[in-house]
Amino acid sequence: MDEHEFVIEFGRGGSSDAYRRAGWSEPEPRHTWTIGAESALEFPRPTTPGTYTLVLELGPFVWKERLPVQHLSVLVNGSEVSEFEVSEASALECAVPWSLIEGREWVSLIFRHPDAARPVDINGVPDHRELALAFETLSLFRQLDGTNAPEFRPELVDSGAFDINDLPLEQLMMRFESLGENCEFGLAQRRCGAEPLGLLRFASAPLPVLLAALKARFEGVGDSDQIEIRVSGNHQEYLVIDRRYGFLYHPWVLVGEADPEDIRRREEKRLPFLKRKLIEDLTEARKIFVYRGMRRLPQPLVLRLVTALREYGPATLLWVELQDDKHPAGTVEPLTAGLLKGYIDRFAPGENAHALSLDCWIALCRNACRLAGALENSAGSPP
Amino acid sequence: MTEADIYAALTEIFHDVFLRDDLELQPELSAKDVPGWDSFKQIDIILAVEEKYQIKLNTRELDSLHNVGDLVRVIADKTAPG
Repeated sequence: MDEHEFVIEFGRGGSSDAYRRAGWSEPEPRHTWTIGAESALEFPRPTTPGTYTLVLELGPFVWKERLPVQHLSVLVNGSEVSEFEVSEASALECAVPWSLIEGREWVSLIFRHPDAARPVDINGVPDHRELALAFETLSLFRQLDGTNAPEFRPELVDSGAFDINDLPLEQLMMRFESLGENCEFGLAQRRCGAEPLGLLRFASAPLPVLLAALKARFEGVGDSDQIEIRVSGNHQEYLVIDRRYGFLYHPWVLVGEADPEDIRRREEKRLPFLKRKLIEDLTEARKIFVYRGMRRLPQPLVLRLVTALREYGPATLLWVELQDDKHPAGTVEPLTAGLLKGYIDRFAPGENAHALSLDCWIALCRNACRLAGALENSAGSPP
Repeated sequence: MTEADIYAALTEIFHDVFLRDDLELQPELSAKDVPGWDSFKQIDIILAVEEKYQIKLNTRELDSLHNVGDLVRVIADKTAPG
């Protein structure tokens, strides 16, 4: 297996078929449900000694007061390494010491989830499977230490010769490109008068979906048979679904404003064009790419994103999370080569991305530009 | 091809994209001057230009477009003989 990371994707067509043992349902488009009170995986042991971090991206089967939480125990080669209470979609992390895995060719993982239940018994949904957790991805990373941590490149730090505060907002925001996970940053750019052309600017792009698309160089995006037009849950607007990876786009067309077939024809032209542009942008890496998860992201997963971006070119990613005690809103810090982490006071609520914290997004962009030295690049703004 | 030819062709494209026959293209005309000229309309314009002239604009060229005059210059450069 890869020296630094090993990933199992549980969506349909993912890699989990080779590693799932007892206790799993058939894969669905984005995930695979556990079945019963215990499920098992086996995969090859990493070759490089070290402490590893196991990251599980999953969602629980919960239902109001009847089933508010799923308990989960994780055992590695028979030894319990962690326990969790899962009440919402989460990225769970636990350490896996080398001593637990060094003696065997394969790593055996057991997940114990004693709260598994049948939806038909809990909420009346006619599903008779005994469900507990829907796994999206499992990642195993070797923890960084002084010998393998990539250095932040000081040559990227702006010399200060240009005052970033002098840059008009529109031009500042044009130096960034959103990769998702939702359209909040794309809307922040619009509020500043910046209208960059971006494939993922108004898309829902969960990290596993984005990683899969990056790996495949977005092959198939915009193909006629991969485009599905749906009406949104509130029946007010159309949505464009990418069947291959699972991206969801806002075409910004209200129901009744256009025929769905007209939207499809437009997307068949628009998406390949935007795909071409995104690949060029990734290759040239003149812009700073922005990503915010809809839930807190573990750093190892974000490092996977940086690695995937840097397959194209020397990209810099601004990863945005909520402020904490040590990092007030507006702070941007360099973490590794190609990765800046920014801290925001609040994200827009999931149901209304327009209600965003504009001043803080602007502060983050100014500070990221200062750090990344992006001012030497020449990205402009559209007409 | 003269600049006037390009302006004439672009005028037709803009009328089709914005469904307005009253738009008069000037070099300084930009998104701020035309209601509804957002990134979606910009893509429609670029796609129509690429189809009309059988050219492809790269990301640097796309990012350099601030007004109609910039677009005309890019088209002229990319369609210049030799």
